[in-house]
Amino acid sequence: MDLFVFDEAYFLRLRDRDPLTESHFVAYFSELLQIKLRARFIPSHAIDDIKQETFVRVLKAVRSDSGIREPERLGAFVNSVCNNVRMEFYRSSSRTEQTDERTPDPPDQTVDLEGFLVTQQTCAQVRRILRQLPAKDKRLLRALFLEEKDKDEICREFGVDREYFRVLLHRAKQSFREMYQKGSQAAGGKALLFAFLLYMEG
Amino acid sequence: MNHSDAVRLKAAEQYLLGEMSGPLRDEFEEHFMGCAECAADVRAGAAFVESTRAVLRLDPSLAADPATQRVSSGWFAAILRPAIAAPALLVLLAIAGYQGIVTIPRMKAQLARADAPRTLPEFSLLAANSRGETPVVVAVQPDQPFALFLDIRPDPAFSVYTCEVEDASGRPAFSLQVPAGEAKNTVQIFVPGSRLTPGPYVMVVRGIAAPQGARGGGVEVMRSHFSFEYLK
Repeated sequence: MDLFVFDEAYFLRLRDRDPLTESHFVAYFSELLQIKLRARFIPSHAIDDIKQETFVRVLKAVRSDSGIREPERLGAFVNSVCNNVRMEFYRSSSRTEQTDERTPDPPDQTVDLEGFLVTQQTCAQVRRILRQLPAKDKRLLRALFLEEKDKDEICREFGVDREYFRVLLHRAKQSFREMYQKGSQAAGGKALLFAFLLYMEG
Repeated sequence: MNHSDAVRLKAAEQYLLGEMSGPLRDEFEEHFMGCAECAADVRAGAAFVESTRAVLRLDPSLAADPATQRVSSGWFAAILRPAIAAPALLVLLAIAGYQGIVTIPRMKAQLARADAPRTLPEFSLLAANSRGETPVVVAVQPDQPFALFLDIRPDPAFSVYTCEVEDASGRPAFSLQVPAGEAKNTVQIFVPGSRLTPGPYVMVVRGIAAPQGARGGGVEVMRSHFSFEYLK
């Protein structure tokens, strides 16, 4: 996924609708926008709509004469557009009618190991990391991420401070990241190769 | 925020732990959208958190409390005699059977529903006010979490706001603090399932000039009425 750098050349390829660059752009920012919007408890269907609208507006700006002037600020621009679309979503939500009894119930979701960011591979990596952690740290991660206990309560229960959480997550993440990035690059390389072959055929 | 700041603050970790809010969170988001290194950090961290959640949900034994056993003679050995241990064992088996057949499957189903990705019903208190107009109706399934949106008119006199939901008798159902920086934008509040029971409520927002920690005080700045009910 990191085969492209957001420089002038990238910006020009994006402007000129190069399919590989466009695919990379959407894939790269799609994950980051998903993480950003989920952190604000925005419903899934709204996240997809906000992402779509963000990409439409950014690409329109990239391809307009009066659009982006600093290609190296492309990421910040995407973030800014997403914030605007998100605020529009909040305002339009306040004007819509409340849910009524005729609205169908949301589908009951079971564990989805193939969902966003979670794959069989990432779960296997996490299991390896968890087995190497002391019992206390394993229980702490469970309290944090599965039981979602109040952090102050966890601090009292485990006799740690907030910095301990950050260091624990940092170390576990560093172990995970190396394996994760190798897997992502392999998957990303395959995706880009496939897109390239389609492009050549077309 | 630049990359050095992000590393020094352990910004990715704070962000993923939900410890960032307001301007700092906005700054970090703007930064990692443009910094490949921090973006990779956030992506990997989010994948780790989501995958850890999934793994522990499916295999709780990975993070179970370590079993500790101490066997001693004397009274402990005495209760292990068959005359005492056998009936005790039967009772334990009956309890374990009930838990295994009824309680644990129900709890697992609740946990799976609670942790699975799902839509979140949201209700806006933006238009609700204190003049007694028809209140907002918050209608959800039992135990279903939901979100409430409200706008707090910022006042430089206050450093923090408390948002307290009170029932018809004035008893607080829950309360949380909103830093003044967050109050500049529409505030969204995540309400866990089963926190409220059906009935009328009012969201009372109070501004506090003192440092965080002040309880029971503050100046009321707004109140929004709503009623809570279960969808049939």
